[in-house]
Amino acid sequence: MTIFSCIIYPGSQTTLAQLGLPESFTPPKVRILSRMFPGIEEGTWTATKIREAREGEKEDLIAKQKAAMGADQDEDEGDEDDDDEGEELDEATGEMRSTVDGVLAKSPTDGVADEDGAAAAMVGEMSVPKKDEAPSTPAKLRVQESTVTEAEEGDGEGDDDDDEDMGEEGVYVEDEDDEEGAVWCMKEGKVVDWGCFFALLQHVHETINPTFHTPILMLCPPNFSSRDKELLTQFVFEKLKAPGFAMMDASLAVLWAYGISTGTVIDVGYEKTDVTPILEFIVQERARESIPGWGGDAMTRHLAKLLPDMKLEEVEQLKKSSICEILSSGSLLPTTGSVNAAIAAGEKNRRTTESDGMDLDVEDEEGSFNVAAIVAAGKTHEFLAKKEKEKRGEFEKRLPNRDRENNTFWLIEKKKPGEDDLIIDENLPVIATLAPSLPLPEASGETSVVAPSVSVPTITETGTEVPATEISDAIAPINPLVLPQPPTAPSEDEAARRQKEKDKRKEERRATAIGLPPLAEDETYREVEVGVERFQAAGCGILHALADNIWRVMAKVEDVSRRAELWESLIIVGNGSRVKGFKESLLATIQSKYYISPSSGTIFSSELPSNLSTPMATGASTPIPQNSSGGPSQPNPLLVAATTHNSHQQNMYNPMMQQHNHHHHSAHSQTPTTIKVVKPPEYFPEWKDVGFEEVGFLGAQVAAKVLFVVDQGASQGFLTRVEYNEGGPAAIHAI
Amino acid sequence: MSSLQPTLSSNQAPSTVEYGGDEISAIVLDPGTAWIRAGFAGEDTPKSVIPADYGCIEGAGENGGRKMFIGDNDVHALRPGMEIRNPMNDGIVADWDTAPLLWRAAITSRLTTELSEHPLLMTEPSWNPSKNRERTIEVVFEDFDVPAFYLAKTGVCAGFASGKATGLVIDVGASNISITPIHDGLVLKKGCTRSPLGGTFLSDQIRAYFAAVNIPLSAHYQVLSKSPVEAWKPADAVYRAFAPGEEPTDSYRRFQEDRVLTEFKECTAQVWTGPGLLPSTAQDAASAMLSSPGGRPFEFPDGFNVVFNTERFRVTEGIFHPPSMLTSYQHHPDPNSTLGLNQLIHQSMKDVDIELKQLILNNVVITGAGSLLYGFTDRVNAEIAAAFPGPRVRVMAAGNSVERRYAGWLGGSILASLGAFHQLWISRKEYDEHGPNIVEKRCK
Repeated sequence: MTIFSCIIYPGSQTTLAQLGLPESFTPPKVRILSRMFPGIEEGTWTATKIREAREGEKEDLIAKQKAAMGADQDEDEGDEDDDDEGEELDEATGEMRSTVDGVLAKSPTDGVADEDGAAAAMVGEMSVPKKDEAPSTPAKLRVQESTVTEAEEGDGEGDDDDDEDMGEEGVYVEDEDDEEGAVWCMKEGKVVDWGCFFALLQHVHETINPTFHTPILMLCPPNFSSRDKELLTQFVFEKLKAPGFAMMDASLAVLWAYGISTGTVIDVGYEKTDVTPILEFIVQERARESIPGWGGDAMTRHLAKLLPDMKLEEVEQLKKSSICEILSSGSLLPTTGSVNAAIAAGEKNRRTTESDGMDLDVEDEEGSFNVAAIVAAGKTHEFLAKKEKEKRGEFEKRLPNRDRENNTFWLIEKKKPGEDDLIIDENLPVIATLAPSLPLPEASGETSVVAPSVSVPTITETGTEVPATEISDAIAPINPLVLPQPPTAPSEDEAARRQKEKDKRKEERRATAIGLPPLAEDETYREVEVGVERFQAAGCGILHALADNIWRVMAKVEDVSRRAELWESLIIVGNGSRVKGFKESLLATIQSKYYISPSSGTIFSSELPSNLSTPMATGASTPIPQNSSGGPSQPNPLLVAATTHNSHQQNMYNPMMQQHNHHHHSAHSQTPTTIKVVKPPEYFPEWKDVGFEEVGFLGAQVAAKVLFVVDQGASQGFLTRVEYNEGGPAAIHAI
Repeated sequence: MSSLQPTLSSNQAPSTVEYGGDEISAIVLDPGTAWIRAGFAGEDTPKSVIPADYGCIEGAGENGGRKMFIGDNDVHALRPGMEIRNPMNDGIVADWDTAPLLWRAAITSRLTTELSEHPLLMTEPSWNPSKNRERTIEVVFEDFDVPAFYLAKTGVCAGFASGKATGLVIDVGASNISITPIHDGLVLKKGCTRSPLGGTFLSDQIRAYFAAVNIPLSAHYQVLSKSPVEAWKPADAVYRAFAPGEEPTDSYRRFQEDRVLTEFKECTAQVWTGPGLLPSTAQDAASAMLSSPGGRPFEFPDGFNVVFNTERFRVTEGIFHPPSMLTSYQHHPDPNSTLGLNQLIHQSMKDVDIELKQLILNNVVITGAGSLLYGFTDRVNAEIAAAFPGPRVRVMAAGNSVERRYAGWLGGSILASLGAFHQLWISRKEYDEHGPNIVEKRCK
């Protein structure tokens, strides 16, 4: 049985949505980027960019369109949605269409892929012949008439399908790859463009296409003001025509998902992090903070700064790859020395020489980032260095990521238009190898180029040196399953091209072999090697900034005695926290900065016995002697009791007053004495695979079930249309 | 299957009876010296609470003006050259250029950006001079463009929050302790007393005490990580290094240290509640130790930690007994002429009519975040019982720390949501007719 309800979770980057509640709660079905493009007409918005056709495209398109129209007339009839229409026209234009499966499989962060996917699924049966060759036109293009735009005012009841008008006026194309001019309607959790935001909601609503009696539950970011909520309520009832609507705080939803009532939710988002303490399902509004500027994006930007040769999108992918890791604050970055040591352990096993070397060394001493790139120039030196490197590289491969100096990941790239004529870069993975200068005498040759915090890729081929192309590359020696690449020299001639084609396919096969997702036609894999920079995503200070903020939020919780509980139930969610090691490092940072260790002073103080002489029977005040993973040794429970339990002195004047004091001073002491993270719930198998970063959505599903199904409005859990008609948008605050 | 509204079929749009009402709730703003509280009337806690302290860098703003940093996120951020300031003095506005900006920020950050749509109720201390009150109404009508306004006394509001229209309100704020006798929702002006022995005073006392016994006070921003050390042993911490010229200002350091002191007040400091007087000599202290509640440890941001015994009582004693305050710092109140809390109460009651006295003493309300000091209410209770012996003296303090902190705001929220209150609003039209002076006539 599927229960009808519709959940929307808007975020600064991605908006999640789902229609219906399956038996077991699953990750969100629909993911849409939270941005729209201004339409042709003022005040209208479209989900994909619509621009005027460029020179040359125009005639071509019109011709195709005309042809297509005749052929597809019948098929068009059943379709109401203008998205579908666009999609079909696109199908009709045949050549420009990439494979349907490819689109479906694209990563969620990738452009409008999902929206396409949803639409494409509907028209999937049409079995358009797939084209194997890469499209020759600069970008995927879709034709759309100017009159059909997704209007903000659109009432969602289907737009007219006037195919006949097509092509008469100006010709516009939908350009999926063009991100230019996109309006991101939310920034740092706040709606910055309401027109755009509503258009997005409309688009989401149409994508999931619920029936009229489907109530909507929306998770709202903490930054929404009361007025924002009223505006939304009005929109949902008057434009989306929902029969019921409820809003839920995104942080509270996380708690629902975890099934606990008290906790601190740390939601690391794109450009901000929310810290929300919640006591008994009550959000501590005054204490909660939204920290602008510290989110996943801060880490990406910092990495980009460290790796100036990589494009921002590439860095983003690096951050998301499994080799990007934040090491705990104490551990040093792997250096050649440490790698050598690790290799030495396994030295007896193998000795191979293969692969290609690299000439670029970056020094990194004792954690301080002191970079010197050294390029060996002399032939002999180069040879020796290469030999040494090869040996090391081979062993290095078998080490876990954190012990390796360099590691590689697969980069998904959009093919460039007309790429076939150029040197295909997927065979030439970037090397940005970093190694200290000292341990390798051979490498510290005559020429040494010092370039602080910059890694300069150079190009080497097996045996022969290749002049730098615009894509500065070199062969990567490292991939667990990969044999060394056959040399490919840049050349325009046919043989080389075929070779490249072959290599490319080989590469893609390898990529799929190690479990990478299949690609769309216009994407390629490229293996990229990165040095120790990959461990420095948090170098921008995000951990300290967050730790300080979390402490401050805790200090603002009015109920001093409850702070300990909040420290003991931290929940770190949000896609920004997906970076490997992030959560652990954040905890370690808090621990090292704010943890209150049990005082040694009380052990020796003579009044300890008298202190314990009047224990009150309030179990709540005794801190639970549990400890966070890897924290300092457990405090002696007796000691903790002594230090936190202020014995309740006799009040000789007014016994009545005592009542109050017992209540709110029971655990009156400094916090945190324990810092713990709540374990994610284990009974949602689907969520285990994708991680619990978006667990708020799971909470929303639980809540939707409770509100709309179990409770059915008996306890006024959501706003019905009738109530809305009576109370207006402000009625949402009563819910 | 839909279990909802079965009468609606899925292919029929619901009727579009659109909403046309204009029930707009009022905004309640309670500006204090430490915090500015704002929220919608009718709610039980303020939604938005921002610090009244703000950061500013001269010359960094537009046209070489000053750049301001308002709100928790901004004011605590580490910025070279940022000074921390406060627009209030003795509980009333001193800097009229800044205070309205903070008020606006408190409202717009979490509530609404449309100030012109909501009536505004503000609170003021009972000693607010009429010049200030007129300035306030000018700002809200001219600058904020509110449709209606009212200025209520903090004391009255705090009484309302406890359900009392008559009583004695003891408000322990940041800048001072104020005693306000109220009767039937009106302040008895004669009985209003106050002394500057509030939360700031207490922080200064603790700071002076630390300095006197060579306890190094550190702030969290200075420390990157710390390691546990034994009591009284030097701290073992990694400190943040600042490049020359990048150091934060003294006022910033002090502001950040104050947060540590606040934690000390919350967790360690305590008011002596007997038996007897706070022992003043070491010998007395030793004997009192036997029955005292013992020491409490406190760990500083750099890991330095100390167990405090009678010292944690001594730092608070100045509130009740000014001659015992520490005077080793500048700008401390005069220990001899300043009135302690019990003297304040006494003086306040002296000027109250004898018939009302019993009624008022029957409803003593303690509010303000400063009163959350451990043992504070017990001590006040004892002092009052000693000064006014009788069965009808009753002291009440909300057990809930949230209510105690925001009593002034909460009372305003109750007041503004009362049906009968509607006639009290000063409308924009009235203001336009009568000018700012109307506040004196209408807001008593």
